[in-house]
Amino acid sequence: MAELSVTVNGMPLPLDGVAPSVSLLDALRAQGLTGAKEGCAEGECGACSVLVARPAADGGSQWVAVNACLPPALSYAGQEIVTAEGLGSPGDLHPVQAELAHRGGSQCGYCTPGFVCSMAAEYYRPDRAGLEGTEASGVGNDHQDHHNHHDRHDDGPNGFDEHALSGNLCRCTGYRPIMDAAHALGRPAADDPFAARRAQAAPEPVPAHVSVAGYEYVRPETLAEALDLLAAHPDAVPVAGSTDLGVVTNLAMYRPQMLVAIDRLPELRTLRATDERIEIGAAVTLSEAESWLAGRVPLLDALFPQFASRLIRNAATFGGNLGTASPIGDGAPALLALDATLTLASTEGTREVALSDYFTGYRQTVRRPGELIATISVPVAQPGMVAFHKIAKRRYDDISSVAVAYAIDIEGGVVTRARIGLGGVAATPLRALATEAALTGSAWTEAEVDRVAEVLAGEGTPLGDHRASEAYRRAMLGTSLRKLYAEHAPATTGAAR
Amino acid sequence: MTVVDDRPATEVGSPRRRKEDARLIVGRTRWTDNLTLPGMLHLAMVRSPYAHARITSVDADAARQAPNVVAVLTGEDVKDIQGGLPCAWPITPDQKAPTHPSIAVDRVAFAGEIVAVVIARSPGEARDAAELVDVEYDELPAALELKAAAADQTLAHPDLGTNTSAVWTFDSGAAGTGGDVEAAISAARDGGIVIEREYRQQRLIPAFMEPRSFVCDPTGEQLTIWSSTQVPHFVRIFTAAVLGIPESKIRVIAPDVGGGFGGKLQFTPEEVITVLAARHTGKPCKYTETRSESLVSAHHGRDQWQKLTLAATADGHVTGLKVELLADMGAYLGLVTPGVPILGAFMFNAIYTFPAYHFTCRNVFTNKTWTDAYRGAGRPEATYAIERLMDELAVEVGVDPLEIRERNWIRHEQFPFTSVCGLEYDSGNYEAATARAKELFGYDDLRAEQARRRASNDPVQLGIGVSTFTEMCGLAPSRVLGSLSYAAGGWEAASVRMLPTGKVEVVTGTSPHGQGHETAWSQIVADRLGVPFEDVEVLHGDTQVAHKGLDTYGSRSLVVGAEAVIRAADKVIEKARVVAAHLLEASVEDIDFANGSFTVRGTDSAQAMAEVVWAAFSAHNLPDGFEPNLDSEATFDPVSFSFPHGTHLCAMEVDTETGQTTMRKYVAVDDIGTIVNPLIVHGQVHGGIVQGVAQALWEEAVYDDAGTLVSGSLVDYTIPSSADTISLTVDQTTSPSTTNTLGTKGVGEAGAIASTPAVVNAIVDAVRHLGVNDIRMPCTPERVWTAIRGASGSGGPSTAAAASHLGAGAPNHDPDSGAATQGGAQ
Repeated sequence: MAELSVTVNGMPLPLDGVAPSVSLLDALRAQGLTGAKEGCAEGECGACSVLVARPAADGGSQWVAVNACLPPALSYAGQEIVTAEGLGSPGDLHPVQAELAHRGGSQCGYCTPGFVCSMAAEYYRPDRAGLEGTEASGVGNDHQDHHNHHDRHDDGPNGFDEHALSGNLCRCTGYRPIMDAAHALGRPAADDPFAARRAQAAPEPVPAHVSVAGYEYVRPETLAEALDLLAAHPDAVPVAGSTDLGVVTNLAMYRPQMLVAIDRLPELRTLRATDERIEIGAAVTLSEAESWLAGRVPLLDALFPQFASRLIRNAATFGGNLGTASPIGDGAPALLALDATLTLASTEGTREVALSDYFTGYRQTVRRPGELIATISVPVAQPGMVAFHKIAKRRYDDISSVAVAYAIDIEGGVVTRARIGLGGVAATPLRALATEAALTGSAWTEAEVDRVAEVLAGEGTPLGDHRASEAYRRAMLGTSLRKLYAEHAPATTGAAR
Repeated sequence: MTVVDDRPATEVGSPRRRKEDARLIVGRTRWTDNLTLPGMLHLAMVRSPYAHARITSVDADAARQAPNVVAVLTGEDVKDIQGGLPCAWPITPDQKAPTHPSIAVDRVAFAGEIVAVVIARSPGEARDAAELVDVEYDELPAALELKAAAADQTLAHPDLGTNTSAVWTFDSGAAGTGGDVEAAISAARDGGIVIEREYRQQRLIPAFMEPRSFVCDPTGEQLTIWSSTQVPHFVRIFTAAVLGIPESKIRVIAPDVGGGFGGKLQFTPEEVITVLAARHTGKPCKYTETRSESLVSAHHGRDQWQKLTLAATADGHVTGLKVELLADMGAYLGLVTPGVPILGAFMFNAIYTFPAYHFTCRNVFTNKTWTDAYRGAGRPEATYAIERLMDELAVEVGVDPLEIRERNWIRHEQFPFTSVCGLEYDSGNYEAATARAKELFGYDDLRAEQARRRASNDPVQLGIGVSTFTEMCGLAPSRVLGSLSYAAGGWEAASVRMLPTGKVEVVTGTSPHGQGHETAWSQIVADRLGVPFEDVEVLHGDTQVAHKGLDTYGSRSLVVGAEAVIRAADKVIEKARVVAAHLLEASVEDIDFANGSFTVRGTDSAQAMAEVVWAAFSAHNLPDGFEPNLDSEATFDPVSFSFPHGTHLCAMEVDTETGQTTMRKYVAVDDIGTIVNPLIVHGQVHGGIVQGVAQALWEEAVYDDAGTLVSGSLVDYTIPSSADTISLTVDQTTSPSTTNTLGTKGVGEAGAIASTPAVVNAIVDAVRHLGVNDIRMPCTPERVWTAIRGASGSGGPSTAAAASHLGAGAPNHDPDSGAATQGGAQ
């Protein structure tokens, strides 16, 4: 069957003739599925959230909430979507919907279906820690130990990770009733069809080559095929989670002639740990990476909860984050501190580039036309002391004024090795090289840290803008190091974080 | 009557789950943007990028040639038929205002003003073609900064000759409601206390979640307009007035509306343009704004400078308050723009027995988005100013901020109390609310912790903020509105229709957009008529159904709108009583009505309401001359405002090294009179508090030096997310209002009015020992840090070289800090 379609609430929704610039949200709304809405068109508000069945580590599937306003509808061809309308009906509310109603979680109701989908994804998360006394049926209990790093998150009494709602905005309720509903959720019932669905594999996106009014959308099957396309079409744009492309498509009317979907290329979806290095495929979503790493790279574990929102992390990738080379992305500072290496692939072959050599200017990198980031790797050996400091106005889902990532080793009270990655202080993410040098060999004492903090405050060339002044950014750099010291004063140095 | 055992004794007071929820939560309901009509056309607006410019030419030829474009309308095309947008509140006879075209004709006065509209067969094609409209501008100097604009340094509208729209004054001495404030200040300068402060109310954006959407269907005898509005009745009247269409030929429907907060209390250019487009093409037309359009063109709120002088005796008894405001109107006067500061004029004296008071406000034009009502409208500004000042007075006197308030507030035995503004507060008990709040807060323990942290020089300091607010809401007695030169009244209408099967239809002139009227009105009517909650259907938001009404804003719906419902229901009972007496062969005077049943006093003869309704419907056996109809209407004009009050206590932790603030605890004890539905009330209070907290901590509409809105997306206009809010403790004390049947008071705005000063007072309290006595809102980490460093006492604006949201080369832009395309657009 040549026709492209996406399964929505159990029914096929044809995608033939849908242009690459049409978002999944617009395709759903055109079919009368108007529960998901366009609140901002840039992945901030979550009013567009829907559920998608994605592969789970156990070979089954998991329900993942994503922003529907950002990805091309075509990128979901072959996949399986559930919307708020599909979860329940007015006469037969889904447990998440029933809790929201019961706790007063909806006022104007505009954002609510989006919250429903984000909450439902968390409701069905197999490794959500349960509470005794809830209707826990044992489903997923066997995963609890493996994922106990979730305890670090803001978990509710029923294991509900509050980060699940970090990408949904509500202007009416003040959130308390929504959180009450989230914390009141029990376990899915034994006959819950969406819970049962998790036992089956998630459908893979189908390869496609669509041309609508001169605009092409291609989902190749292999990396080689993708690289050939990129070599043959210099203007082709590779797309993974579309969390950046979707914004410029929606708001700046950006219409590339060819989109090449790389988010499911097997070669870009590796997750591998050798004796030497931990390797993350460029098209692995941040949520997938977080789950697979399970805390074994502590600096990334510190990064993830502060990185955009859960909805974004469910689509965004390290490859995309480094590909756009934003100076204020939060991924690069952490990876710089971890001495990350990139593997770049093209039709010419592959090459390795240290991330510290990768950025060359504002949104400029050594990546050549036709070249893709294939993998990101970091050493297995982890630094003794790590931290990710993000200075921003809001706690989550905000843009950093300054981001500082630390990876420091201390032996016998002396810093033996320091890697510090910075964001928001220059046209590129950068290593705080002068600070690293000043710190290395210094005693880990308050006096020495005070001295080095002045060096750190002088790193980079931060600009003042409406988010923060230059003076504040600089001051926060120095303050950040003093804070790190306060948290890791000698008495506690060496203790695992 | 079916007897249902598990029902509450009364519906009023019961936390009924909302009737509205199922359809909203499942996502199967009617928002304006969901509507699709046969042959529907779609609009895209061409907006000015300049704050102030002369339009020298508009070339729409390329757009007209674009695929599936049906028409392009420019200001020149519609200048003779578009009329001017209305301002319903000329606060002074000599108020100055520019004409306000829906589509600018020869000059634009703010960035975002509409200069042309493209009408096409799909929204995408309309937007693409809008990019092709070539407008040439001659840029003019723009009036941007409020104080400079007030000094007429640059004129927002050169033809007016000044930026001052109006100056409005209230003086208690002149009004005979109090003493002379100048005398009080002079006296206080000699041995008393005079506190002089200047506070800034930053510009805010209502930022309702549903972007505005309008549909106009011109096919049919009546023009039908669907609008995501708070005020369908206003839209009907003003569509008639502005476009010269008979009101009887217009039907306006507000279907489900996704929040408003005052931001949809407006008659907008976009509504006029949608109607013009539909009439021009003869086809249904739809316009749905994008988020960035919403943030730049839906009206903004607040934006004042407040110069304040408080006089007090040495022991902290306030003797006078003088308020001098500059209020930024923005570029035009919207529906109630000039009146917003006036709604605050009578509230600076708040809960206190001030003997002398003077208020003056200068309304000033700038070349920015026009301002208008935003949750609280005038009263948050007043409450902020006085509650900040009372904390300052407490410091001067050297007593606890709650103590200074107690020395000045109206004691509960003084009610009803006539304020220095001449308003009569009907009821209240500030002592009770404060005592309860202190208890829930653990006030003394937190003060002790604060002292410990100060003593140990903890980098994270703790502050406690107090806000003992009141407000005037329940807009409004029509005569008072008339005395303030407002064009309309403040009554509300309702009708109650008894269906033959025993079901009840309640038609309300209020127009909910999240407040749960369908549920609350059902509870009230179920009690009143003794019918099951489920049997009551509440109809609203369609001028063909609810033909009469003044809509929803100003915390008026329950205290004014529901009172009309009650009175209509009571009229039904009185009519039914006549029928019941006839059926029971008794005298009308001997018929009692309770629990849905008419009884003959002293007997067990009874007729259920349903039986009486059927009798009236069948009309087989009615008293002679009795019109076979129990349906009733009522219109209620309140005799007074509603005066809810409360004590809000907030504890904030301030990291003195980074300026970052964290809310530790928040307790709100409100007195909102009788509560109809605690679930809904808690929701209103919670949501209101968080909006007020957002003003204190996060939100600000920032313009750059060219007059471009920098915070023009939800990335930069940072409304709070769930992670930014804590679990608030909310409780009530109750002093029933004496001015309506149930004893209710308004609640929709209370939280937003109360919370802002509580938060800022807490932050200032946390760092006052470091020499800080003010931090300008929003208290961002940088402003707090700067205040602590003493670089500037008030933080100051942090705008500099702001780049547009999507501008090429904007070095600090990254929409989600986590992009995932490789290469992407750049």
